[in-house]
Amino acid sequence: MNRPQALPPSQFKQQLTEAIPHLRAFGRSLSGDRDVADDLVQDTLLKAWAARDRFIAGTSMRAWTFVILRNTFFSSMRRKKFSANYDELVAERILSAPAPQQDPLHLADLQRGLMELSDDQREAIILVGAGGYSYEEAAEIANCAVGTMKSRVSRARKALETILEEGRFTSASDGHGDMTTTALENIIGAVEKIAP
Amino acid sequence: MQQRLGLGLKNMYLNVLDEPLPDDILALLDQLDVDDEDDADSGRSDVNE
Repeated sequence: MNRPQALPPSQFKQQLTEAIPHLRAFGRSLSGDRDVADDLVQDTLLKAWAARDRFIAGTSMRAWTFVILRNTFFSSMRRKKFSANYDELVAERILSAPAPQQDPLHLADLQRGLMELSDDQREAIILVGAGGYSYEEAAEIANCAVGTMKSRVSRARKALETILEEGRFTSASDGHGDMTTTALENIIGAVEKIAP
Repeated sequence: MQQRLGLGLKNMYLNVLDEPLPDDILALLDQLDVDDEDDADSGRSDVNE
């Protein structure tokens, strides 16, 4: 039986380079932080390069490197090297980036809402809802059953819709305080500060 | 809401794709040629887990 064919280094590097924008998008959505995401991408590139003899020509470089990035992120989170958090500056940058005019959803709220989800739900909805992966591909990346992936995406969508409709964010996404507040409560609080 | 959510997620992702690569990542890519064949296997545990 023939051994699976590895790519020549130059071709491997080219495919790796083409995957970088997607790695950055995945990493940023997963971590909620631009700088953390770029650190993750750099770790991923180094690991992918070191393990390039294990990449099989003809398979998806993007999916292969996504596995490395998510494994790096989750193992680093356990060691507290990285943390998933909402980054106001990142949200502002996202807002200032060009977007189709018909999209009325506030992207800063969306990024913040994502950070309210559990890690596995956030990963699932990023892969399927944002990255356009099939349930099968996403399940392979996340190392879970297809049914589990479908369930995670479904629960993530419902939770995110509820969060965005109610404007309910917790300290998990804003990085300040312990209280769960709604947008309305925030407004009332601000008014009371001005006119007690 | 479902449609807005779907559009918002895709736009969030696409916005990042359009950004130029930062200098430190470009510099890292340049280094990959130099390191070439004698890499340590530091990344192996995160591959195909």
